[in-house]
Amino acid sequence: MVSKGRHPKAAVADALEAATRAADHLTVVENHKGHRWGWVICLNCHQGPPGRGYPGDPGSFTVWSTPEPPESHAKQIARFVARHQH
Amino acid sequence: MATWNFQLRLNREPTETEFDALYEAGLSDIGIEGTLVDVDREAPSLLLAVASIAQQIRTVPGLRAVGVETQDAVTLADAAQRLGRRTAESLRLLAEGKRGPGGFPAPIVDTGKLRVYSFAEITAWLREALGEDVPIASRELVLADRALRLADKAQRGGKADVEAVRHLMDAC
Repeated sequence: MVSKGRHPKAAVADALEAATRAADHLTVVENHKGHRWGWVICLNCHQGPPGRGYPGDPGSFTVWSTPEPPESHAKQIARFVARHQH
Repeated sequence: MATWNFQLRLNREPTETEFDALYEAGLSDIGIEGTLVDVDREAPSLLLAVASIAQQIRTVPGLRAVGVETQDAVTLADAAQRLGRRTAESLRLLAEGKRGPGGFPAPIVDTGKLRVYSFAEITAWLREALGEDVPIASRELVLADRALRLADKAQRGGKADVEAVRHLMDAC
């Protein structure tokens, strides 16, 4: 589920919503730090503490707050979802 | 100018601080998962796109790209670029059954706005259904991968190895 608000970029917000619909083991965590907006986490591959991503985790995809262009980041999120259909 | 999709592997997992440094180095067009960097970069050619990303990663002390990875998940535009001889539109017509014999592989992910397919399934279908001679790997990606691996090996060998490789490349 999307934990707080929607991502400010519509294309990214749509991709994040689609990620949470795609599988139960995919979750979106809003966790602002620096340029990061949050994470998309594959719970099957995630190796860190429950409920949060961390740098370098093979199951965590970093979502930028202001990706440029947002449409490319949306594609990258969709590719992450495709890689984690397991 | 075309936007090129490819994946690079980092030498190690970036830290929290390095994430921000990567973004500030101009890498606002990448997605990072562990040590995998998924890139959509606008550039005149694929090799120049790989080089520009590798150079920006290198500006973050301690991080470097050590190879190109070819992930299976692709949009039809990505697949068209990798195939080289088909446009995204021609693949879309095949996918929607408006051309060809039908039976194009179903997308792995369909968000309604974005569809992601398996490149291996697409190439297998092009071979079997249309009899196309599909290349196994992009020549440019293989070249970029070898160049990054060579640079990584030289880096790990030390300054003398880096200088030796530079001289070799200049001699080409």
